[in-house]
Amino acid sequence: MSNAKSAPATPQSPKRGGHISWRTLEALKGASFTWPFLAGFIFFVIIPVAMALQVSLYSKQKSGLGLGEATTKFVGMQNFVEAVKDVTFWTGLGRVALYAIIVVPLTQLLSMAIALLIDASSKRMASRFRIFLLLPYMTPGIVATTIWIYLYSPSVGPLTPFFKMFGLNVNFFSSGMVWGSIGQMAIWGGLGFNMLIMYGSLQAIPGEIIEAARLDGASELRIAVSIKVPYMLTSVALTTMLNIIATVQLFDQPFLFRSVSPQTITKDFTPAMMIYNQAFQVGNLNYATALSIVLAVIMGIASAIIYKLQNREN
Amino acid sequence: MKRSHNMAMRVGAGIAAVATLMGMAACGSTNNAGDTAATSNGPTEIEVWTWSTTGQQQAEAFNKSQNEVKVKVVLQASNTAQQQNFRNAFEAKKSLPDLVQGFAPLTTNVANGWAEDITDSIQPILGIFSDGAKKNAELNGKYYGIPVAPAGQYSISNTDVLSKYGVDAPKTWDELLALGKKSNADGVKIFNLAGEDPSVLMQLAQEAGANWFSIDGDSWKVNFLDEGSTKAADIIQQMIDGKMVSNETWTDTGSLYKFFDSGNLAFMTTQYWSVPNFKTNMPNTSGKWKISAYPEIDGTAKVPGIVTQVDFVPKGTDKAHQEAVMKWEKYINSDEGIEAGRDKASNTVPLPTGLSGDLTKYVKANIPDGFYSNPDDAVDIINTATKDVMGGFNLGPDYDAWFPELQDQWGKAVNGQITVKEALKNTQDFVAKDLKSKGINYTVD
Repeated sequence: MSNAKSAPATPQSPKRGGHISWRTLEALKGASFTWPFLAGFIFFVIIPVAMALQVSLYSKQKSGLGLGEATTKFVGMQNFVEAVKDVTFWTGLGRVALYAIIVVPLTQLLSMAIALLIDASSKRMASRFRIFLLLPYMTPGIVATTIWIYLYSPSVGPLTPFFKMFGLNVNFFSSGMVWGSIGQMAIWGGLGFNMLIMYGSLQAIPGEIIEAARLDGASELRIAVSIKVPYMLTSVALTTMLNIIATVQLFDQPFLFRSVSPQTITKDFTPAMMIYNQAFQVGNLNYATALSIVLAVIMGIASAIIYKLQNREN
Repeated sequence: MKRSHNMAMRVGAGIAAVATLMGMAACGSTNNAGDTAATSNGPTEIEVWTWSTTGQQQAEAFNKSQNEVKVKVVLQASNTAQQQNFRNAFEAKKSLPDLVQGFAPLTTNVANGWAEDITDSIQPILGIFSDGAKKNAELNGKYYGIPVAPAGQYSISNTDVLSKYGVDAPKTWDELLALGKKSNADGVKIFNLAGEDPSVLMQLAQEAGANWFSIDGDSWKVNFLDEGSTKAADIIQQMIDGKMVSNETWTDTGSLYKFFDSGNLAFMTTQYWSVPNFKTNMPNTSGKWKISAYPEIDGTAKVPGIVTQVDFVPKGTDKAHQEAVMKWEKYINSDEGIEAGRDKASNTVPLPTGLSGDLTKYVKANIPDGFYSNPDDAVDIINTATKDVMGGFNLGPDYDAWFPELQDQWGKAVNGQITVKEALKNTQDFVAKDLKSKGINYTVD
């Protein structure tokens, strides 16, 4: 009531007798458009995260022969303490971090180059290339990995004989090559999506800036480096972050490659593989959940750092 | 008024929809006495989860053949999908089926609290199963699964290779190693050890008398390094050290079959259901594979067979539904039920390996024309392998945890990074650590 009294009585905001003001009503109407997202976010993110937090605070214990249902007991932060001390988990994380340091910049550089090339071409050509380059991204990871396992196959795949023509004896499944084989697949799969986002940002550059640069005699390379690339930086930061998240969650490629290179790719090779193994093989859902939360926190910190750096750049 | 009427209609429709969904959800939840009472006037309805594509046609035939039990088959996308769906349903404590096609070993099913004790309800049909099959469904004197036997192992040898080195099909592992010493110089391998598949080691260990898990009172005795396991490890180590083996993976089947069909593989152990694929994918060597019994290790013929998937009745299933499950089991293991499960695409029926009695007609039906060089011997050898297959190799309460570890260790061993014995020792250490973390009693011999 006191709010209604103190509010200025303008025609745009008639707050009389406890009625909701026109502005508030409009704001609520606008906000109502977010409900579908908000509902999904609450049901599929907030609630599962809360449930995961709860599950991670418990542990299942058996006794005797271990036959029959386990008893569940509250263990507080014990699962998290174990996760922090788990050498296998951190080794896997270090492995994917090292992999990310090489694969993510390579993917980004190639995506930028392709986005710039497509931007420089005619609209018809650009449209064709966009679809063509998006095909690997549209292919499900498991399907793509199966196809590449065939292509890499030393015995029946076409790549080994191709390299042999140049005197190179390449075994894509060997311990030394398996990371390269997986990385190549990741670049192939991620290139199209990154390129599309970057190409979108290039389309937002006002035409008159490019035209003015051309009139000033700037070459296409100079225009790309001095005008287009700075305009792309926001989308580069976004795709870099998405790539890092995807890399830390690396699962399906090494999961399938485990059969062809079992001496290198073990069940705990990446953090995601270890979480899967703990949850669905070992059956220790509580510990697997704790590991998932630790991994999510790490990715959250990495994302925050990238955003911070990006804001500083701006 | 009209508006409030519409609102009432909507609310009513909403309640009806929720009620319908709840009813549907309850349909599969036969694990309580209430459901039994509801079906007391009609047939007992049971829900069966399977990834077998012929399950539905068997259910239709069964439902037509009698009116006491009505089977509803829920087809799962795969073994893995079924495992995950069951785990989810079990954790949620609702909508459990009455029978689940096996996706894990018997002890795992019991250790996880999934399997019901069906000792009483299975008695009327126990006689149809072989002794080996029964051992695979029994733990600590109680039945927790439907008896099952794996397809018995036997050997096939490339006759061109045998002729070249002037030998007969190896009857013992020593004879196989002797052949390897001769053929290796020409690049002909005597065995394929896929780096992801340690089943060869497990089978050989079982044949040699290994017993990795046994129950001793209230505690597990764990021994991956007993005499049988050590013998098996030594044989495989000799093959690896002598570079007598290939390491083709089952994931890259194109490459695998190309190698099998190249004439550079002398020998493999296999089972009946693999052979149709060999026939299709190995055109150059079809007709040149001589079938013989599984190689002997100590002068006695044994057929190893380790069961890693046992069908079970989920915990909480009431007696009436258990009895209905047994009627269904009796049917699908009868001649009529097996015929109802004929695969229409391949026009084949599976070999019912766990049954007692004469299975010759099913064995004959599963021998493809033109693959074996001695097809007349095939019937006897496969028949013997099916009847004599060993049972009861206990995989312990944490198989799901240790098997991926054994795979890791095996991958390293076949690639020469560690020895096979070290792989077994590392796996045993892993088992001890895992059992300790779970609070399960154990001793390591």
